[in-house]
This record gives sequence, structure tokens and C-alpha cells, in this order.
Amino acid sequence: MKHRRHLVLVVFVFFCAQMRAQKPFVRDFPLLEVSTGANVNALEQDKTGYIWIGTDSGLFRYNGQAFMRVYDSVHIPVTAIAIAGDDVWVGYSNGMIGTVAGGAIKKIEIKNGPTCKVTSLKTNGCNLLIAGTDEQGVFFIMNHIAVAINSANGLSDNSVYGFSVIGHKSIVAGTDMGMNEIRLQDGKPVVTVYDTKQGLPDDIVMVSKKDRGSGLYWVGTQQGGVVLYDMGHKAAKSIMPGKWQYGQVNDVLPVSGKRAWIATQSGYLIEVTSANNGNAILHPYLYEGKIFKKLLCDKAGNIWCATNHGLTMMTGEYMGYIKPGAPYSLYDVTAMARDSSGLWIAMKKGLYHLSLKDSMQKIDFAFAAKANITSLFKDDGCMWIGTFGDGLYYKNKKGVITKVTGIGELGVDANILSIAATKGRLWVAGLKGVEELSYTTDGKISLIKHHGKKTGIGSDYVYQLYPDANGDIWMATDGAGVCMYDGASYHHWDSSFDANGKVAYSITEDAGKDMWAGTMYKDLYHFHDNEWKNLRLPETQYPDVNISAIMANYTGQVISVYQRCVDEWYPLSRYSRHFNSAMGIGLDSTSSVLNCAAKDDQGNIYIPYQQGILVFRNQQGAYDISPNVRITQPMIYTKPVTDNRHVFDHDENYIGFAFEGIGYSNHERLNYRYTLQGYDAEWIYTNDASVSFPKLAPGSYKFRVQVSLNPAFEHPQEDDYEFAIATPFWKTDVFYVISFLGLLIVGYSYVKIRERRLKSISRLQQERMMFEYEHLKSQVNPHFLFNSLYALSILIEEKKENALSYTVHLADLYRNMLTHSKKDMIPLNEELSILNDYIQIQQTRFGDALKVRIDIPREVLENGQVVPLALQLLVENAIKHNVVSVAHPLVIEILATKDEIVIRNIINPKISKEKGAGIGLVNIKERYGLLSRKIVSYEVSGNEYIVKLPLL
Amino acid sequence: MKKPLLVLLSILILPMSLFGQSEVYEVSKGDIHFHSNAPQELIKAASAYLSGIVDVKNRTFFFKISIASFIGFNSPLQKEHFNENYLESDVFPFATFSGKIIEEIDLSKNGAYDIRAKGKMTIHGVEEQRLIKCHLLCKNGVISVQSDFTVLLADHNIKIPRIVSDKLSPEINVSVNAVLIKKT
Repeated sequence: MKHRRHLVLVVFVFFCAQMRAQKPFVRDFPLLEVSTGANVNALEQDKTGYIWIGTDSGLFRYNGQAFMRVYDSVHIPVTAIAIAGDDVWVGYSNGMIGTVAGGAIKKIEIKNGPTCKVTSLKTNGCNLLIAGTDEQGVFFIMNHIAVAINSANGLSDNSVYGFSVIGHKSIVAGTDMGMNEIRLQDGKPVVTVYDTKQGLPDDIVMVSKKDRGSGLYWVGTQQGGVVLYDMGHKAAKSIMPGKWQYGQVNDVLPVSGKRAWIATQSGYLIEVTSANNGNAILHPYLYEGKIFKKLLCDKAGNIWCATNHGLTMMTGEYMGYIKPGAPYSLYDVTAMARDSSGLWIAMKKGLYHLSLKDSMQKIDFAFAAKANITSLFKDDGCMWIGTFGDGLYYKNKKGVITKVTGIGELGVDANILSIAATKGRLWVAGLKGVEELSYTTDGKISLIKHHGKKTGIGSDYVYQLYPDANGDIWMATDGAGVCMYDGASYHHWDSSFDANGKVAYSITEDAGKDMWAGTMYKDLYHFHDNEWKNLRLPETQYPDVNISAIMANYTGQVISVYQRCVDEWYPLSRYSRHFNSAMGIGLDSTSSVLNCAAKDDQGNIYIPYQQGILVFRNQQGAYDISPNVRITQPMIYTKPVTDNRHVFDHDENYIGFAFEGIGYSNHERLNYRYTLQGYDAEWIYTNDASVSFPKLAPGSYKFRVQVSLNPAFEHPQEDDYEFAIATPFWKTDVFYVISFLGLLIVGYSYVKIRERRLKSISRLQQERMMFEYEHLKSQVNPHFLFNSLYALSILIEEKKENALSYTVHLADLYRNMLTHSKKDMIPLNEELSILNDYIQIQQTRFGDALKVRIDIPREVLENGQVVPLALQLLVENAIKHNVVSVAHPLVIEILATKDEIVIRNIINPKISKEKGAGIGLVNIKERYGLLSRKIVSYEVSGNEYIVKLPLL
Repeated sequence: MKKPLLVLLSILILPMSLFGQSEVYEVSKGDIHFHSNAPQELIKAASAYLSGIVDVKNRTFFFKISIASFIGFNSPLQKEHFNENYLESDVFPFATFSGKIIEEIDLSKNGAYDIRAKGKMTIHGVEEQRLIKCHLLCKNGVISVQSDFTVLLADHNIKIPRIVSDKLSPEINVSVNAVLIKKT
């Protein structure tokens, strides 16, 4: 077994595949707590940024930091995932298809659906779900009804692997018996088969994907490797001559820059680059024991691989490393340069060469200088070597190294800090300024001009010389900041740099022709629109801000090297990707030597670190490292809002939110802030991924949460959630109107009632006045007075002793009548005393002819009340209307119950009626009517006249 | 043991013969070897009771072996464990492999061919889709089949007690040799 592998290796080298010295970093995510990891079958990224992972142990969702298992009631392996818009579908190994809703997978009922393993699942973007199965062909599913396309419809085989959706109406599917193009024409499938007879290298087509640039298809096969296939011409272009050595191709991931990544069953990840001459270059990386099944490139450029042992993340699109053998040591490295032959590394006095063409990674000794080598500058096959104390050397195209003399004031024992070239000019910076030289290809130089502190640079110490795209030479100086010489004059921007900032270590130009400068203590400066802007944030998290090197690649990224970390600026995202020891890549420290970095012709940047050399790859893909944020769960009283409500009742006013950042670059450095519009205008900065707002007043709110990779939130990503809390009904306008109307009605009726009461009071008063008048009139009735006085005169004559008491009664009667007639009511006992006076007077007149019998219980006597003079009036009436004589005595009975007084007498009417009668009883009745609802009643019962007077 | 096999074969052959063009080859001599190469123990066993048929016209096949027929273990106890604990041969007495031949090759013609057989392998009652490479030698109506492949115990729900994990490899190497002759 082992022998065979060696043999295979030898074969690689002879053919076109290049084993690269450079390797990508990989990181494994087992997903489950078992050591072997979950068996991952499917991978997709949605537009929010979440990566969905289908495994034998169910579906997972990944946000760049944590894996969330999606609840699933069936415990069946998830074998395929499809994403369209916000919808996520999953296919199972038993043919079932489900959709993710509310954090769980819901089974979809499909009529005539598949009953065997779903190998791939996709949508055409218009409600059509397409499922490939391993035994039953392809299913087109719409509105819960599936239509199968299988060998009966002309499909070459019913065992379907991966397929691609082309437009809305056709797919290209790989099967055991060739590749099938299935096109829906007038609702009917038209199948075209492409197999080995049409130029494919193998009948078993595992994957077919359209190339990004050309109209060709990347076709991966079971044992014939990968070809670029032209369906129109039925021609396959092999990407590798000879027999395919890397095993069954499980996936092909086309990426930008005419490249693709290939995943194989035998543990290979292969980067394929189509060269301009039509050939392809393969860079295979072997990870033994792994089966790579699916590939996914996330927004940030990480490549995710579905394997039989969990998920593997690979940095191949943006970064890699080289691990040179001895005598490489980070602390010895003093300068680097990269040319077509490989990497030149100066380690103290020695110059070494590292070929990058093979995986041997052997460092070859090339040259020993007499002093430490401080600067290497490659120039068209030649190289200039600057030393610290031993001047300048030149390596010609043949590799012969000679000492260079005549470098002006710097001298033969010059301390050289930096070397650069513009058209026909060589620039050498030392401790005595900068020499501008002309040179020949054999290394002969002659001085053109000396530049230094006095000529206008402002400093003799120039750490780095950098010729920009216009041919102007930029200088990073110690003491004069950045200086630019355009061939005639020096330009300074001193005002932009304060005292500390006048030390610039490093300078570079990015792909957008902006300049960047690394400084002492002040971090990074960016030159744009003739202005330097300091990019050091006040919240900067780096303990040391001394930049030892900055370098830009060809697509805009700017690398800045710090003592313990490296930042890569992404102009599109306007964030830096940060690399440090926490990445698990062994980045504990970088070289402290200034400007110790190299760039090759493709724009890849080489930086020494403890474990070897980091390679920051020039990125053809426009990768975006911006994070995203999603509100995952609004909650009412800690209970998740499951329905899609955005309006809550007035008592559902305790609202909480959980949110999460989604990012595939430095998730641990994400910053969050939130605000609740309508409640608080301020942004609240937090690291807590949940927040709650108790006792919200009714109203409209908007919860906004932002995420940013820098603490300044200069261009954050945002998610929001609008909601409203309903006004309780007693605070609604309708309620206000109703209650206003109600108040109006109440007020109006109050006024009305009061008016009526006042009216009745005034009528009562009127009645009383009338009564008073009538009564007085009746009492001063001449008859009564005459009779009384006549009786008195008789008394004086006959019974003198009685006359006095008679007079007293008469006087009492008049006084009481005057006193009480003004009142509305009087107590019964007082009324009785008035009556008593009256009876005394009348009995004096009538003697035994008048008999009044009063029988009133004591408690009634004390509590009862009547209208004043009512009893007196009734007795008076009885005397008026009836015969009062000894022969026919008038008997008046006054009885009382709890509620009423009954006055009755036997009717014996007089023949001549006394005048002035009639008003009495009516008056009493009206007065009662005004005071209460109790009615005064009178009746004639037999020969009795009965008046019932209610007690008040 | 022979009877159910015949019934099965006839069921399989019957629909094929309905096409009228089937050309069926039957195993006349077939054996299967397997070995488990674990750090502490090498276990080998073999059976000569492989039966099966290949329809060369329709390029389909069916193979079957009785689990209990394997012999050659390191000890009788080991054989007992193999049958009772791991493969449960009283519940799942047979291992089968049936499916199709990918390559469009006329096996009735003389020659040596490398082919891939794709189908369902059932061991321990668990079905698994497999693609297996075979070397065929066809000569005058006789087809010799030779194939090596591996079987992952985990794929077929065969659980190994932790205590014997050093003695039993999770990956079993299987080698098949069979001679098929044309049925008349």
C-alpha cells in the first residue's frame, strides 16, 4: 500500500500537477461531540450568511461561531439542502423532503414524491423544487405534486448524483450512465444524454457545474477525473493529461480567476487553474482518511468542505503557509525577496534560496555576506543585496554575486536600509541619505544625485523607498514622516503627522493608487485625495501598534504586520481581517525586522512568522468579510413570538430580542449595538446577544441592532424589527369620544334634574305660601273668631276658671300656626299639640257634642312626621262638614300605624254648608305630592269618612 | 438451504427471461475471503459458498453468500461471536449484492475487462449503495470475476464492543473470486 503511494507521487511530478510548497490552513469542525465527527452530506449558504449543514445526525445552522442544531422530529440523515430566498428545504435519505419553519423542520407532503435517498435538491427560483435521487431519477415538485423523470422518459439512468439548474427550465444532471440535460419544453421533459460516446471520460458523472466565465461545464466523474466540457460541440477538454490519480470526484467548486476547487473521495482537495495556453495547473492537497463530499465558498472566501468526519474549513482562497526546513529561523530572517525561481531569504549574513515548485521545501544556501543582509531587491532576474556595514552587492542573471562600488556618499561600507528602482534609476537608502543612481545590467552604477536631510527630505534616515505607479519615489523617514520626490521637488505632509508620527517605517501603494504608511506608535495612515488619515482607532485592541511592514496586493488588500498579529485590509468591506495566535495557525509572532516581506508577480505576499512563511494570496475573488446580524427571536415575557405578529396587546409590553452576528472572519471580534426607536434614541453597546424592554408604553417601535468588526461602527450592518404595542381601549380616540358624549349627557341631565327640582321647590314654596295664606285666612275666619270669642265670653261668665286656660289655648294655637305653617314638615307630636289646642278650644264650644279619640303608639309619635297643620285641618274639616250636637255628637278617631295616620268620622252632613271650605284637603294632597311619593287618600266607607295620611 | 435460493433465482430470472434476450451466467465456483487487520489481531475467514447470476445482456447481477458458511477463524469462539454477536446470522443469514454493471461491455465476447458494479450490498440487514471495481476475464462462455473491496462495519450497523476495538478493524478487506458459466 505504501509503495503504491510513493509511486503515485512520482507520477504527479512528471505530469503537470504541481505539488506546492505552499499549503492552505485547514481547520476541522466535528459538529458533534464524538471524536469521528458527523458525516456531512450537504452544504449551502443562504443570503443572510448562515451556512446550513446536512448530516447523518440532522440539520445544523452555522453563523461563523456556533452550530445550532435545527429541531427535527424524524431522525433520518439529511442528504441534500436547497436554498431560495428565505426558504430552506432539506432532502432525507428516505426520500422525504422538509422545509425549515420557525426553527424546526416540517415535513412536506408530496404526492408521487421520491421514496429513496435524495442526493441533491435545488430550486429553479420560481417555485419549482427539483430533487435528484439515487434510484428513482429526478423529481420536479410543484404545489406538493411531484413529476418523476426517469429512464422511462429517456433519462440514461435512475441513479442521479449532483445536478445544476440552468435557467428556469433545464437542469444538467450526472448519473451512472452519463450526463443528462433535461429541458422542459411545453411542460414535457426533453432529455439529451452525454456520455463517453460524446467525449466524457467516464459514464459515471458525479457532478456538473457551469464555469463562471466560459459556457463550459466542469464535469467531475467517478474514475475519469475532471474535464471542461463543451455541450454544444460535445467536446471535453481534460485538465490533466494521463490517468486521473486522485479518486472519485465528488464536487467541483468553480471560483473566480479561471479556477476551481475539486473535492475527491480519496482525500484530495485540488486547486485547478486554467492557464492561458489552454492547459490547466493542478495543485493537489492530500488529507488522508478524509472523504471530501461537498464544497462551499462563503462570502469571506473560506472554503468549507463536507467530509465524512465533520466540516473542514480551508483558507486556500486567501492564505497559506510554507514550512521551510532548517536552517530557517524567524529570529534570523533579515530580508526577503521573491522572484520567478522562488523565495530568497536573508538570514543574518547568509542568503538562502527556497524553491516553491515542489513540496520538498528545502532551503539552499546561496551566498555569505560580510555583514548582516538588510535589504533585497529583485530586478528582472537580477538582485541587489544591501548589507548593514558592508555596502551593496549585485547578483547578475547568471547568479554571480559581486560587490558594487561607487554609491556616492554612502560609501563601500554603507549601511543600506532599502533599495528600489524606477525607470533606469536605482535608489539606495542608507544612514546618510538616499542615492539616486543609474545602472547597467552588469551591475555598474554611477551617481546621479544625492538626496538627504539638506537637499529636502528632512531626514537622512530613510527606512523604505517605494516607487509608485507614476514613477515618483516615496520615502518613509525617521523624523520627517513621509516624503515624496517627483523628480524635481520634495513633498511633505508634516502637518498630518504629529511628533511621534514623524517616524514612518513603511510605505506602500494599493491597487487603487492610494498610499499607505506604517508609523511608530500611531499605527496606519491612509493617503487619499492628498490627505493622510490615521486609521488607528482609539479603541484599538493591539498592545503594540508598531507596524514592521505594510504591503498591498494587486486586488486592493493591504497587509500590515504587527509584532504579534497581522491585519489585512479589505477595501470592499472596509474592514480588516485579523490574524493572531488565537486562529490556531501558530501565529505567535512575526519578524520585528522592518519591511521584512516579499511580493511575487501574482501579487501574493510573503511574511515570515514563527512556523515558517505566511502567504497572503492575491485574491481574484471579491471577497467580503463584512459580518451580518440577524434578530433570531423576538420574545414576549420570555416566550418566543411564533406567529408573525408585529402588533401586541397593551399588556404584552415586556419584549425581548435575541440576535446573533454572522461572520466568517473574526467572529470573536464582532461588536454589537442596539437601539429601540420610540423608546430610547441612544445606541447601547453590548456584548450580550439578547436584550429585553419591560413595561413599554403603547406606541410604535423599531428595534435596530447593528454589528461591526470595528468598535467605531463606521459602516455597520443592521437588522431591525418593527412592532407596535396596542393602546388599551380606554386610551383610544373612540373611547374619548364616547366618554365625552357620556359626560355631556350626564351634565345635561344633571342640569335638567336640578332645574326640575328647583322648579318643584319653588312650587312647593308657592303652595306653602298659598296654604299659609289660606290657612291664616281660615283661622281669621270671622266664624271661628266669632265662635271662639263668643265661647270665651260665655266662659268668662260661667266658668271663669276655665276662661284663662281657653285663652291660653287659643293664643298657643295661633302662635303654633304662625310658627309651623312656614315649615315643610313637623314632628307628629308637635302637630298633635297644635291639634290638642284646637280641640280644647272647640270642645269648650261644643262640649260633649264633639269627641276626639286619639290613639297613636308612642314610637310613631316620636318618629313620625307630617305636613304641618294637616291633622288640625282635617279635624276642622270634619267639624265644618258635619252636624255637631249633643243629640248627634261628632266622633273623630285618630289612629296610627307605622306608616300612616287614619282620621275617620261618621258622616252626618250639615244642611247649610259653611263657606270657605274646599281648599284644605287639596292643599294637603299637593303638599304631600311635592314632598314624597306617598299619597294622601280619602274614602267614604259605609257611613264613615276616612282620610289616610301617610307618615313621612 | 438450496431451495429458497432457487426460488429467489427463478424470481430474478423470470422477468429477465421475459425479455427473451437475457443471457444468464451462473456462479459455478465462488469464494469470498475477508480479513480484519487490527493492531492486535489478524482475523481471516473464507467461504466457498458464493452463489449468484449475471445477466450479460441487461448487465445486471445478483450475488449471495451465507454468513454461517464462513470458516477459518482463529478460534471456534471467534466464529461463534462472528455469527451471534456481530453478524447475527440467525436473523440475517445472507449477505447479498445486486445491481447493474456500469460499463457497456459485451461479456459474451472473449477478453479481459475492468468493470464497476453498482448496486445494493446488504450485510447484517443493512442496505448500502456500493460501487465496486471488478476484474473480469471472459473466455468461451466462462467469466472469471476477481474483486477486492472494503466493508465498513459502521455502514452496516455492526457495533464493535470497545473492549475488542484493538482486535477488530472497523474496516474489513474483502476479496471475491468466482467463476460463472453460461446457463443453458
